[in-house]
Amino acid sequence: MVSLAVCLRLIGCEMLVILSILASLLDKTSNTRNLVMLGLSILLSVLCIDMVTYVLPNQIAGFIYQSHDEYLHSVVTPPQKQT
Amino acid sequence: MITVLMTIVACLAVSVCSLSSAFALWLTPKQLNRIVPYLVALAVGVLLGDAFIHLIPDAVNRHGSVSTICFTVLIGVFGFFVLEKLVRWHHDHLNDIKQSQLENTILPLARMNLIGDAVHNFVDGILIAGSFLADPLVGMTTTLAIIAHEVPQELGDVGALLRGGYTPKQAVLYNFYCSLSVIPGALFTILLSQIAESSLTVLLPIAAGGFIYIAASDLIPVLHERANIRHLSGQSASFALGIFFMQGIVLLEQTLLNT
Repeated sequence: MVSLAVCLRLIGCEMLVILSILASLLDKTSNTRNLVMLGLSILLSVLCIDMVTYVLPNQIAGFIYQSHDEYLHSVVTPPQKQT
Repeated sequence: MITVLMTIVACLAVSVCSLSSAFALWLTPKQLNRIVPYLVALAVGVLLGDAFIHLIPDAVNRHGSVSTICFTVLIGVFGFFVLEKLVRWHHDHLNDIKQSQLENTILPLARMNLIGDAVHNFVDGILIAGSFLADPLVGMTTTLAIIAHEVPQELGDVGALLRGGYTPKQAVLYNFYCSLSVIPGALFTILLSQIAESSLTVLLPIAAGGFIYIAASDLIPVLHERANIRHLSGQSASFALGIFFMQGIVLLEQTLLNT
């Protein structure tokens, strides 16, 4: 089963492809194109922020600590709160 | 929640595939004029193939009664006939008002094609969401099967839209807008799954009736406009290719769903 984050990223990437093709098809003077460009820039910013703050740090941490069992265990099963 | 998101991912993938018709933008007007008759012939083959090989047997499998399905197909043909009369009436009314716009008007066949395509994509959305609700794996195979039949159909549709008077950019754009009806279809199924499942027995034959009507009454007469040996052989080959393509996709779909 795919995780929620992967699904959201896939939707984001598909929207990015659709909006960029739409932007190239619409007339440069039309308001719709401006709206599409606005959506495109917002989406691109969100995806970039997600990439920089979440995906990249996780990938780097995974690369550095891949031999540490404690790290791998904490990624697979999140630690439970002690009462 | 994951099922809903996966359904949306699949629907957007189908919509992205409809943009495959954007190849028309890279062709010169001269090249387009040469290939449009063959694309229209391909559209006829794909639409008739989709109706007779894919949609009607699927509806019979779901409903079981052949006579009821055939009657619903006829209702679809009749509905699209009335719709075209309305479009033509509106079209003629506009021409009465502004005779100068005659050259820029869009032929009814293009609008009919867009309506038929939107209904078909709505049905595809119901099928995608229904299969994801049943099992994510079945959902993925159904999406692959729909994408496989979507690509040749979009090529044919763009050919029909170009013949109907749209510019290449408009044809690709409007075709894409119609393909977005896959998302309301999926949302309709997710929200009202039981009604959507039973509505397929009506929607599938109606979409088939629409395709038969568009292919037989709007597109085939266009194929008869030019009659020489080159067009006879080329258009017959494209027509046959469309039918064989749909047959191949149905076989692929069965293989995917059986594995």
